[in-house]
Amino acid sequence: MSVRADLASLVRAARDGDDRAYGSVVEACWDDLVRFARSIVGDADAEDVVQECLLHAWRALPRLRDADRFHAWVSTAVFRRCLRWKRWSWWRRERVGTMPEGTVSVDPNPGLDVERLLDRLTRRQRAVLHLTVVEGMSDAEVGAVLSMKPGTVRAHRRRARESLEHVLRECQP
Amino acid sequence: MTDDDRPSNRFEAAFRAWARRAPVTPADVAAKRVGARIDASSRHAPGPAVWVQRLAVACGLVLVVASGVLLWRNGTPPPIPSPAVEVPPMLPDNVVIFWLDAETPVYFIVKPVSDDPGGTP
Repeated sequence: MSVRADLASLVRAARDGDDRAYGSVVEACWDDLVRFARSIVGDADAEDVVQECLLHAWRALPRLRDADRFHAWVSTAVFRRCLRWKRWSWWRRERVGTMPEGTVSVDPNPGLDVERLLDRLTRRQRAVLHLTVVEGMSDAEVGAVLSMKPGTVRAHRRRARESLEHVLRECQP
Repeated sequence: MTDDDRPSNRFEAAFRAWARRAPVTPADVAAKRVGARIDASSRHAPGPAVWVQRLAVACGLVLVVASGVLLWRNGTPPPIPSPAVEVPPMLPDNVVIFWLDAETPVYFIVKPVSDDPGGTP
């Protein structure tokens, strides 16, 4: 709770034009937002999406009335940008291929290709699955971030699980 | 099959571990990058004088396009009147009329066919 309160006060300072405060806001939100974006668009593009979003959020900050809602507000922006995001050029893939060694982004599940399985789902289904399974949010909370009704959230989750069950059963010996 | 053995549960456990990995770029580095981009964009943001210039150019373009459209509409010649409207209703059957333009009719009078076979005497 104190982290959220700190974040809100930083957001208020940033809204008043304090660049350094916004740097702290970015630092506080970066990991969560990249994880969220990665679940929707994959490893290669997640950081670019979030960086673009945080830049736009800085410009749109004066329009944010409730500083306490910053995290949800920027998460919604990340989700929308992920829906529109397209891989424009091959060089992004090249860049990811040349990531520095020793980074922490090594797949911890060598037996189960999570990213390839996620490719079988729609971006909305991936977002719902992330917020439910990874963040542990309720349907109402997920709906608030993704601008969906709780019933729609449940439908996306059910279809995602059905698709995954289908694919995983096919893969089983 | 227990609940833990279900394929989707197995996936969700793996997904949780996959999704919780730390980003490649640390948060402090990302904050510096975003800060640098904000600085750069505010440095290159156009000032009020530039906006006034752009507005003037836009207004000029609108004026040019509008006057072009007006000239084009006023300069278009009136349509050639349809012969069906302009031809006097009482023309004899052997008269054909062509309009060269709005004010220049050309009359062709066809010689009526007579019993005289004609030809060279």
